[in-house]
Amino acid sequence: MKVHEFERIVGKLGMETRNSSDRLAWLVHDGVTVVRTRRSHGNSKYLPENQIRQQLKVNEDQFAGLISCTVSKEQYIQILIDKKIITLKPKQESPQSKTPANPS
Amino acid sequence: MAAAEAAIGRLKVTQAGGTTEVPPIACKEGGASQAYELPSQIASEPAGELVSVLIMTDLPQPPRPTQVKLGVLKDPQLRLRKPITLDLSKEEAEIIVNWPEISEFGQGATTAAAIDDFGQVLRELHGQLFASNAQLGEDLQHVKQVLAEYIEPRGR
Repeated sequence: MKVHEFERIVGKLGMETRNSSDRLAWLVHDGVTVVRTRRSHGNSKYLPENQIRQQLKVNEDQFAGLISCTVSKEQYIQILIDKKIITLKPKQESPQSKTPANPS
Repeated sequence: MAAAEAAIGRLKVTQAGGTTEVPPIACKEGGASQAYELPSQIASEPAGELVSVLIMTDLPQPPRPTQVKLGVLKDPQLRLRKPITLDLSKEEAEIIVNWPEISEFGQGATTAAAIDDFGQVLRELHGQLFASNAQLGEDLQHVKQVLAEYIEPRGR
């Protein structure tokens, strides 16, 4: 895996990043951090594709799709929902629905 | 004098034909030193067979272990409760150590460098997951639980 491919995924998914001893990337969905990955600094550094793929919780096809842009962010979020990495919050009832029906 | 002679002892020479006792040829008064007439050396006969010595410079490397254990965390504030077993592999020129339980890895040119990198990553991950404002999904909550199982603050 190349550095520009890693950066393409990070950019496409809108991951938050921080440069530390490594370049860290986090996907935050609805205020909750759901997956994280990282890569070493330096363009010539080898990036272990399998390990990064596992951190992103996708299979090989899905990972290839993330790199080649055939898997969008929305599709990726759906993959994480299907895998229960993202748990959807129960929708709050609107105040109107709690209002008792007008007896008249 | 008798005691001195006993202290000097006798020289024994072991050869192919057996062990022979060599008598002293001179003995100073007082027995402080003595010389021995050693048997003449006999050149060994050539065996008639050539022995070839093969010097191998490219010896096959012993097989790399598939797992290593991280037993110490180089951190002034954190320490390991128990060793972490890491899968070890080589990808291209890099050594990769992987902790499949939390999908975390380290890499380096050598096994030691990869383990050091993993330790650094682990400390960083611990800091992020245990930050007071961290809002974590279920998977990262699990990672946090695993880290708590293996890592504790020093001084406890």
